[in-house]
Amino acid sequence: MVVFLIFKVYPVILAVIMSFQNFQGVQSQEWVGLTNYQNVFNLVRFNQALANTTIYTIGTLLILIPLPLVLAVLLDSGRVVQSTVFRTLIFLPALTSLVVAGTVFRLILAEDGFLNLFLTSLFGVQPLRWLEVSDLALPSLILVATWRWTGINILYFNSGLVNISKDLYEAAVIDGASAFQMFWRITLPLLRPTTLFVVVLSIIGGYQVFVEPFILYTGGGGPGDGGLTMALLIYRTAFTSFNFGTAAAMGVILAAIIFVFSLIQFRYFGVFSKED
Amino acid sequence: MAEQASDLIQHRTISRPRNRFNVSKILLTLFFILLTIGFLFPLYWMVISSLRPDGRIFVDAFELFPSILSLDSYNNLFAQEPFGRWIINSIVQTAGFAITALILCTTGGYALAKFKFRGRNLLFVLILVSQMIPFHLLIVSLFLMVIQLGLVETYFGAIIPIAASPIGIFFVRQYMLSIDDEMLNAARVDGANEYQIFFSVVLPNARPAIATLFILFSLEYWNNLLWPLIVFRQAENMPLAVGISRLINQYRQSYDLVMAGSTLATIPIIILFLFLRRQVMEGLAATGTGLK
Amino acid sequence: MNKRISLLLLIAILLGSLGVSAVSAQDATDLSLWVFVDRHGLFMQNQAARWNEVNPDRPINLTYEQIDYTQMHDNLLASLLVGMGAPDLADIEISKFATFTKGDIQLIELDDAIEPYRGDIIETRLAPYVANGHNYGIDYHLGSFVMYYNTGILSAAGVDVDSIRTWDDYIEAGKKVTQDTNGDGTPDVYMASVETSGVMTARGIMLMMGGGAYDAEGNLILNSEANVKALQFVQDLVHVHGIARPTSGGEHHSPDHFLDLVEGRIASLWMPQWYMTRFPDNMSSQLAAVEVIRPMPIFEEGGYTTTMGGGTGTAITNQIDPSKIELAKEFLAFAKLTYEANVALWTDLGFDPMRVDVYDDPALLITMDDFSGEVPFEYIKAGLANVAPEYTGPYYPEIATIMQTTMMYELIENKKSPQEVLDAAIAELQAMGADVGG
Repeated sequence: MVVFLIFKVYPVILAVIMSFQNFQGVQSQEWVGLTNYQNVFNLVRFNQALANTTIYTIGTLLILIPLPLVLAVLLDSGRVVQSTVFRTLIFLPALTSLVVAGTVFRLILAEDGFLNLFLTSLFGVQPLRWLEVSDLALPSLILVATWRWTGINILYFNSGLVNISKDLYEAAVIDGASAFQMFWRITLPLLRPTTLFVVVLSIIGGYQVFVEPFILYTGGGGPGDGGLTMALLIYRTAFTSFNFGTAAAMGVILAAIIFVFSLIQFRYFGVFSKED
Repeated sequence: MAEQASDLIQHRTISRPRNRFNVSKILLTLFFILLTIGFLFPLYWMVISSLRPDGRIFVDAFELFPSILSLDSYNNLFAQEPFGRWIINSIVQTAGFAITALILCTTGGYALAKFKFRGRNLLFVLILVSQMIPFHLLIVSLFLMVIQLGLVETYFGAIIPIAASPIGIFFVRQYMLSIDDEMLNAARVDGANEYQIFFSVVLPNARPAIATLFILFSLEYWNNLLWPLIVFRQAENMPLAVGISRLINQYRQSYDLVMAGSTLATIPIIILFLFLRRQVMEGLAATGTGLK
Repeated sequence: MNKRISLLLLIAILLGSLGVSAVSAQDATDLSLWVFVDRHGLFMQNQAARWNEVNPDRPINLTYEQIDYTQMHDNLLASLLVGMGAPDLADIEISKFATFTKGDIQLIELDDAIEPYRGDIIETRLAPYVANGHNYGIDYHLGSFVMYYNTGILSAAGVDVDSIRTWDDYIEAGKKVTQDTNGDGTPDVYMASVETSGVMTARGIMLMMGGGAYDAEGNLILNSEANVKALQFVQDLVHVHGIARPTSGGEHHSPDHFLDLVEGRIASLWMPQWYMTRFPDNMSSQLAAVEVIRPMPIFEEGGYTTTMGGGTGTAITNQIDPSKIELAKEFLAFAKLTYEANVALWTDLGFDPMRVDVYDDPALLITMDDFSGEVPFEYIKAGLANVAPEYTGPYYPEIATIMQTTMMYELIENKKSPQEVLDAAIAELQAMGADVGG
């Protein structure tokens, strides 16, 4: 806990302090009140980054919760031969080095790349310029995220699934419940702590997404900044524009947004009920 | 329907001969095979690219079944970079990080889940909030601390500051909530003290969670690009991921070395993962009987 | 303790492996250097060895650390911010340099060290690393723009590469070269490729037309008449003349763009000299028999013949021990600006030197298999008659970001007018607090 306080809480407090300062180095810092926060809303790209990040987060929530959940339940159902092997293999993308992921996905998403090849031959759609058109930047990023994180989320759900007592299913079978009913009535409610964990993790991860655009667009926000995210903008403001105060203000705003969303989840899942 | 349902629950206890299982089982397995091929495609591409002759990575990018294989990239990698050192650094640092982080997270998570104390929720919220500030904002203050505490170029500095993982504490807390209080109380009635309870009752029951976290922590450090670079400056001390990322820059784009290095870097962590999958399965069996 | 021993050991190994005569540790001055390209560090170490031969009374012991590009700049900025942890010398990339000259400049000015060499070098090369009238960095190369042509495609279309002298010639040739070979209604071979998420294509033209981000006096000139004309020119290549296409993947280092070149879908492109290494490294010398280097086409007689792209300036930080400053400055100028150093820029690093006199050195005048067996430096030198300078200023990094992310994209993909995209960029810079003048 002490370690935690020193290395996590103290820097966070410093960052919050920084957001009220014109920070030019440890030796030169002056209090500027809310100026940094005003600057944030003046930045032309702030709204774009906020919108992009929100869409990205919702996109990942819509895919990276249900998909791994269903896959985990299927893999746990005993209807898949060698389910452990699949769980392992689907997890492997998370182990891949980021430089490689960036390079490979540039080839997959290229105009005559593998994804278009696949889509054209299967569904006959016209080749799309995934890497060059602004509107396709977020779908591309969500695709990369799905590839990287599905396996990990399956793992999370799996560790929750094995903890559900088999007796409940046996009792349900005796009562004549269908597989779907059991999934809905037993699996889902009992997976709630795990689901909450994964959802909150996805919100935090989604709003802070940095690595995916950073590797796919080699450090940039993609075509027309269509893949610009909050974390990238914060990074740009601090380390390119040398404006740590405004960057810190943006970080505090971002943290507040994440916090509110997480709190809603907590209320919904009733995390605090025990103490209330 | 009822039969399907019974399939669903039978698998972990006894595999009874069934007649209908074949069709759905084959279809589902087939589905997963296709899915897995999709997921593994980039990795496959990485491996075949690492085996291409000098300079042909992009020229042959779309040739999926290479006709000529060569070990050029691997030879160049070992000749040009301190690759052996990177592997050892990565293994030592990753293991140190994962173990430290596990100790911090299991104790912290357990306390948050099972002890009722003042400000428990506040502390929990605080932990989560600390995860919500983007890491890049903390770099300046962390950088200052690392220098002031003399942690530059030390394994200690690479591990401790990031070991108190809020996500890890959160995960353990969520997991511990599902452990039955009755069991702990029973142990207390039997005269066990809190340490005994933690080590002999709580930890064994949390084995799947611990194995999962161990994998995730290892992974986090194995691929971490940011933090090691703040602590380490000498190429000889750097872990693999950092070393590999330096091979691509404006003036020199050694994609061949990157592909070979990444292929080799992926192998140890796959081995660890395969090894721990077994632990997870064991833990699974333990929870299956122990948690009734 | 352990750390120091291993450091010494490391130095010993490094020196030993370079065949450098080991300098006795007590009288050599230690200098530390951060680089983000390993070869830069080796180059500087070789120069230190050369320094020690010439100045045996004042030996230098140079150690360098190579750190990833992004991280090195971030670490350096953080070290300068917290007032400790920075090296004596550091490489700073051109698009990052202005970040380091904002606020209180924490670098040492190099004016007097550069002075003795000023007449010998292409002086405009110093311009990007000037702030408040002082020099703060010295580059590793000139980075002059050249044209890379695929003569296989050109001669198939009946175009002689040496007949292209002006941009009008280029456009005429482009119309012959750009062809729809498979008859699907869109061309499959284009004369040129224009980056939509890279800055080089547009920046080269802007500077050659007398535009750019800043002028010599440090005024922001992004929405100048010259830049409007330059962007109009680039846009017209794509949408009026139809001889250029947006680069696959948006920029000239995208893997799918390399494939376009290898497959013969692009007949030419203009990039700085350092792009030469991409032909063997990323394209497996597939174009060796047809690729040639020629000077940039010109817009008007007597106008600029080329300009410079990219670069990395080595700077001295204010965290250096004050007693070492003079030595470090002298060494830095020695390592980058002397005749021998400039030959080494080519032989060690493969870069075009900053001194004109070096271009006649036998070390440069060699034939190269990767460029049709020609002598590329004859053509590179021919282009250096009138090099357009590039000036930087406080918002240079932001301007680069805007060009890379939205400006070129809106111009090419969404066909917005040059005035429109430049005004948008100015408005954005203004919101960040930039002084945009009248």
